[in-house]
Amino acid sequence: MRTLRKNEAKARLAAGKHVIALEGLNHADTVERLGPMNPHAVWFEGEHNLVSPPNIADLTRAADLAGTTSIVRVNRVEEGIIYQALDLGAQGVAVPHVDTREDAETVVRAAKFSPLGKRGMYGSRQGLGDPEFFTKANDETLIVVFIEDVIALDNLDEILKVDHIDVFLVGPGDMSQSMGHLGEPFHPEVTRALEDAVKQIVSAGRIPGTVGNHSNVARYMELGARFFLTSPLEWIDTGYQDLRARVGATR
Amino acid sequence: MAELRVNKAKEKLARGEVTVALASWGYGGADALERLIDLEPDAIWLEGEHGEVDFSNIGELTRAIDLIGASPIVRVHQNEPGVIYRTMDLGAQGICVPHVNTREEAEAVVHAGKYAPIGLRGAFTSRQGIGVDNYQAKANDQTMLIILIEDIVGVQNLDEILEVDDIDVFFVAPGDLAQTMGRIGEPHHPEVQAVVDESLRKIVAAGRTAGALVSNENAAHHLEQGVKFFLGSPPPWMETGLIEMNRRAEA
Repeated sequence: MRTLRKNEAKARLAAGKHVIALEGLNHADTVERLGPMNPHAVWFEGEHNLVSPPNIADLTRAADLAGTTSIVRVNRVEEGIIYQALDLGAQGVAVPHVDTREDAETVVRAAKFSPLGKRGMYGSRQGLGDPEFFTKANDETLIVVFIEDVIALDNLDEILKVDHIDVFLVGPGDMSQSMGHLGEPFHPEVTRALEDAVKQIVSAGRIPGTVGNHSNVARYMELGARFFLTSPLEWIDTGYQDLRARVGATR
Repeated sequence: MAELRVNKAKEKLARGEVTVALASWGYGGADALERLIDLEPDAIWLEGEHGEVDFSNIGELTRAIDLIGASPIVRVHQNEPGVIYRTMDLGAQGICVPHVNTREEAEAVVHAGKYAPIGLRGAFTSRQGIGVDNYQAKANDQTMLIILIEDIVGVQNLDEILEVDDIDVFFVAPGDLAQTMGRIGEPHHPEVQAVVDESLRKIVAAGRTAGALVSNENAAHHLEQGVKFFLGSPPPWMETGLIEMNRRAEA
């Protein structure tokens, strides 16, 4: 017997703290070794990368053992895909291209058991050993929706009325594409649209997030964002180039 | 016909330049490694003595490393001819063999890692040789052999070991050395470090190439000692980046 694993990232957000979710580490041995760094969350990429039902259990087990919250970005707004990721062991799901109130409602219906939704009935890996899993699961399941299309900005007031979504993440990449600035996620018009969306999310009393890095995290914290999807790749680059410089290595 | 792929790390060493390999522990998986392309790493060290690297994934991992122009080096788990040349046949451009303690053991590495007339590597077309005219006659020039001096008996036999030709790097590792000196878990103990320093000095004095696992902090010290082959690992760089990200979020 054990009790349902706490969702540390969700608890931090509930306490008003920020969460950094590390992405690009879709590899169980890598994730398990992150433990001593105490990352708030690890992001497993299933919209664009190799994360899928055959490896979600292994990846999220590594996150469980490292003591970090596992979040799987699924491929689309689709109920079966959302709750299968949760059943395999994800503590949180992120759903791309949530463009309408109906999309947002679909996400909640898929990810929460009744009375909030109608997530398919099955004992998640996270529920093993806890006989009260079904009544506790909703409290430990994190939901992130992506606001990343112009149409979602148009519908944002309506989307923000949907309860039980923990994070509304404004995504610069797709937003730039849908605004006609493909490949320019930091175009000033895109940044303005994202910042306006963040302000709108905060005024509705909800929690915004975005793609974060050393350069923009302070600005977005100031605006009220609390969730950051972050790649450690540039940190590895910095460390590796510094090591090279110290030994006089050329490229 | 294809040209045999150049071994970047071996070529840099041949020009007298230092080489910095990046360890894949703490940042593994073919997709993650392929994303290191902009770092232009000299070499990627795949861990098969202690890590998850084995015959089932060497092809996949070394393909990703080929595509980013770095040299794939695999540390194998035993000094065994079949293990060494099968690893090369699957795509490794370099092999690292642990616990080489005698001249005979060093000769066994060369025997397995080089084709005739230098050795007697099993004849087969490596993945690196696909489409290359007369691969076996050219392979020796692009394969790199690294041996680990990491037991006190290996240190005692070092003069003899250094007489063995066709070994590219003599890599001194303090972890196992400490254990064989009765100092388990104390690789930084002055007695252990004195043996490391003396071994590196001998390797350099013999006109051979010395290698070491380094941190950004101690790399310059090893450079002064004449080390040319450096191995760095991502976890400390990731930790530094994450600490800084949290600091900026909380500022």
